[in-house]
Amino acid sequence: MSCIHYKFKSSLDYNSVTFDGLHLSLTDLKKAISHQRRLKPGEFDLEITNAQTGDVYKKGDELIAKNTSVIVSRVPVTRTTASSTQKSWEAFKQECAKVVRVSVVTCGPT
Amino acid sequence: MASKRKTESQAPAEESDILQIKPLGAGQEVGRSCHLLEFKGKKILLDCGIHPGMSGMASLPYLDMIDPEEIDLMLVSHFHLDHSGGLPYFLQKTPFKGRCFMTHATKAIYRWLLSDYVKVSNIASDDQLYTDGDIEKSMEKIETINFHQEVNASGVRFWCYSAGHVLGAAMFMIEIAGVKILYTGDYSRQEDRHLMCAEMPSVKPDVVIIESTYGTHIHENREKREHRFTSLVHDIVNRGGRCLIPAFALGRAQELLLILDEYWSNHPELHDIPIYYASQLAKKCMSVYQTYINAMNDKIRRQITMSNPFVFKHIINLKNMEQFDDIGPSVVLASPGMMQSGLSRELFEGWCTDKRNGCIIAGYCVEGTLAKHVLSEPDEIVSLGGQKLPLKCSVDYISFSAHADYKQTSEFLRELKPAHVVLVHGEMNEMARLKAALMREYENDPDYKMEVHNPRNTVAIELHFRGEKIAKVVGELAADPPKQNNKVSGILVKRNFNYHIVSPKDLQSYTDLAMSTVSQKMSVVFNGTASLLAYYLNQLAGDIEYLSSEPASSRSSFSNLVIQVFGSIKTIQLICIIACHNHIHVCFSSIHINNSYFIIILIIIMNMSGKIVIIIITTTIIIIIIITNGYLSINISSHTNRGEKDKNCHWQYKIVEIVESGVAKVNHI
Repeated sequence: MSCIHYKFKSSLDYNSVTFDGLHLSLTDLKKAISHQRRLKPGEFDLEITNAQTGDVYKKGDELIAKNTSVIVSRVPVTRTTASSTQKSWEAFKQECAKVVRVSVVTCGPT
Repeated sequence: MASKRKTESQAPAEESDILQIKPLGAGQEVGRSCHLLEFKGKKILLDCGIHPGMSGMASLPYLDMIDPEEIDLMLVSHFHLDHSGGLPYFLQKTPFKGRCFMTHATKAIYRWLLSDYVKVSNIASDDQLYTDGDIEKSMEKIETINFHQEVNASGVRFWCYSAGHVLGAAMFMIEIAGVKILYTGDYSRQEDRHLMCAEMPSVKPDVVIIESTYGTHIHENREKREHRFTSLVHDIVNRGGRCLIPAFALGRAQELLLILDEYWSNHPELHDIPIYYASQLAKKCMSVYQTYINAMNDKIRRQITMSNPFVFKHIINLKNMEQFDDIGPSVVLASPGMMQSGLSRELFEGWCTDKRNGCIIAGYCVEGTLAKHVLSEPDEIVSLGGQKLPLKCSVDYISFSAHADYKQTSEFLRELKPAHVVLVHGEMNEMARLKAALMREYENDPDYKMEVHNPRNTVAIELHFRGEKIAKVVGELAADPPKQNNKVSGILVKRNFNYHIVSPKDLQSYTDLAMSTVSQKMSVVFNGTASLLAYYLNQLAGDIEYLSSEPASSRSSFSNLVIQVFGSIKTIQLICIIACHNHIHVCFSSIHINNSYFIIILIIIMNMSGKIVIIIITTTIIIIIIITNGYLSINISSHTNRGEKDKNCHWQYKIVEIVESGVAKVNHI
């Protein structure tokens, strides 16, 4: 049984998550910690940092080796609904702008 | 405390002009109030509550966004769970090592309220945030203050005003470097049966962090509300139903009990119908209520002298369910107030299927709780065990929760006129409406501009406070009245955030600092006579002064003869030559100029002892060459009048062979 030790940034001591195998992916680790602490997925996300190197694990499929110590931070998740519609609107505007530019170039001076 | 400081590329935190307010909870939401206040390197945490709609770690504020070790001060406004529920966790399970303050009544009630919460919350024991033992241990770390009592802790000055709302609730006024911040916590500007209304602070703050629970709503008239409540209770019991009023054991429950007791006294027909106050800790907590009478309003205080208003005539205390005989109509006040679990939940699940029964929600409900859900009048509810139960009883909402409404908030801010307002503790849309309404009030005002902020959780507000740096001149420097363009020079003493300018002589009387001088004493063996010494010194310095009695005869072996040389040169401190037996001690105070003079005197003395000395003096350096007993030593010292450090170099050589007059071969040793 391998384990990964984790500690919430504001707390004093470490707990561990046990699993089979040599490493755990980031998403699996987050799920295991949430399950162990009875955290229902809600308005927050867990930011996992390596305790020794200080690197933040970003990609969900990044693998964390067993016996690593990590620091967990609970961070609020920004409401993506508003910003995603904003992003798609911006993207749409840019698309339109590109089309206009192209057409201007093609109909050059006669 | 707060010894860890991260290096900053710009000005250090103590000198920066930025005041940062960051809500870690209760930012655009209600529950888990926790606000970080940072200014001039001081970090203060205001409240640490839990969210009643969540459980376990998720109910805590975002404490991971701060470093608990760096927090200097923790202030708790009142004992409600959403302001103090996270305190045992913060004090016992994080590396926090600062000081924690709250009022006396808050601390007393906090102990038992949180204990009750731990018992009632039905999460598995390994998931609980803290235990009763943690609460007990946390009590030692909490310091208490009285209303209006000023405390100075780690450079931060603060005091609190009464906030109404519940017993012991306080509004904290914090002063750092002349900038005043008022944190209201939860407050109410309306007096009720036992509490006074929130006080208007006597000083005007620069920033107000204010609750916005009721946003732009206006409360109904107090008498009308009480009448509506009592007639509703009367109707429910008249139709043979049971009336459930979920309320936490302490807080608004006392107000409701006072109202019901009075109503029952006025209506003898109801005397058969029992009113139960179901709380395991009722007895313990009622004694607290009876103790802190001076935190309540005048009316109650006058009443106390005649009879204890908290000894109720018509209300029966229920310790647990076994004592309760569910026969016939009754009124029950049970905790918790939002029916998440515990007795009020049990009773509700038992009674909700009967349409004669009624439930009156008497306080604010947070999203995610059963009480909030039930207000939307669903057809059925889910019990704790997972069963679906049809909801047939009546549900009404009459708010006694003693928060300020729009009218009170507006008047409060109009009186204080702060430059910045930070809205917290309000649901997102309500808060936005309140912000718009407040800004609209002052948009046409040319003199006063109020900035309203409503930050989200973990998003910081940065405010700039330039602040004039004022230094007070005290002591002899202040003897003459100041004139424009006059230069004042002295020593600038900074204590916390106060600056004083004093002259060095006054340093001892105005501060704990003292001036001291360093003096040096060099001893040389000398076998000559007093008069010889006096002759040579005279040659060198011109004016010598005997500070002790002159020697009687020139041949006597002198002892304790004190001669002052160079006394007429005012720029140097005293150089005395004390001669006793065969030693000469040259004493002088260590300022750089004296170094050069000291060397010259030394040379003269050594010259007298039969050594050959050559001195070369230029404007910046002095070279001394001493030849004695076959050894040659060269000493070069620099002297400047500009206060730079003197440098000394010294070499020694052994004379090997004298080649010709003035030239010799030497070996470096």
